[in-house]
Amino acid sequence: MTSLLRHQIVLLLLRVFTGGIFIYAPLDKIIHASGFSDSVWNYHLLPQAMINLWALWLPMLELLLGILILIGVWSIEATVLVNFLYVLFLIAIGQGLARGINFECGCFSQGGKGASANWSTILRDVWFFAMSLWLLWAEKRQSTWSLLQEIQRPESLRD
Amino acid sequence: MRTFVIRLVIIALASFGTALAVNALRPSGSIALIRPSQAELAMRDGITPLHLDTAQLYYKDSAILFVDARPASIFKRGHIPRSLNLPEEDFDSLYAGFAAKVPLDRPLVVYCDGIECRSSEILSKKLKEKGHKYIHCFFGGWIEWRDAKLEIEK
Repeated sequence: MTSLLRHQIVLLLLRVFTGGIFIYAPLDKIIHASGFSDSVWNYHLLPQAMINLWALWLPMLELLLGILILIGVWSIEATVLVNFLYVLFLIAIGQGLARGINFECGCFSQGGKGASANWSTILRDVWFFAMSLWLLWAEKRQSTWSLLQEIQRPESLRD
Repeated sequence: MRTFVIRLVIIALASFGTALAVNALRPSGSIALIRPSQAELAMRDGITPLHLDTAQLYYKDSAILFVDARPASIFKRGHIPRSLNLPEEDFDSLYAGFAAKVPLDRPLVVYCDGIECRSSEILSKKLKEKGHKYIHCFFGGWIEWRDAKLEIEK
């Protein structure tokens, strides 16, 4: 069972899933940095001086992590950071909901285009977090290219 | 372990450097590294921010109208006396009725719950777009007013 959950094909799918999310999610935020800055401000968590720096840095960090995970380079480090970010997101959204603030998640879009965050946003992030924890557990130092070649090789010839 | 930490630092620094570079080269113009305060942003839009002490002074002048941007159900629970409720989320459907009662040159003080809500700021911008000339935004809003034990109405 354990070997099945860490099988190369499972690892590949998990990389595509988490890497894909982290490549897609920041695109709109990079293009519309000003709107994402509004979303970050709405959380009322960061001091004024850090809001724009975070609004600029976070999407680029997400994009880089997504690419690293997808191609399988430094993927363990990238997955650790992704898990850390999910914890931050869950805390940020959870505290906002607990305080009753009406705010946009800013998860996939921003600048008035996204719906207000709610408890289903938390559930979605918990689901994504679970997948990235699974990825961290299944992850190994092997590029996706080499993983694909191994998957295509007959079972008997594998290491 | 050392390699692991070094890689984490490289990822952090590379993404940070790229973010700054992309911001500097953004075709639509870069954003300031330090975000201006809400009051500064409001002033750029031609809206005057108000502190509690000034809001109190304005309150004494009956020519100045206080506008509550919160939903009607919350407005009914308590508001600044003599204020008019114009929920920001229902602006499109309610503005005609508001415009019939309030001339464009009447000074307005717009508020919502407090610094953690945005409806006063959004409503102020919408009123500005409609041609209202003198708009003030009281960012401290209902919470600051109530906590200062000032006169309220239910």
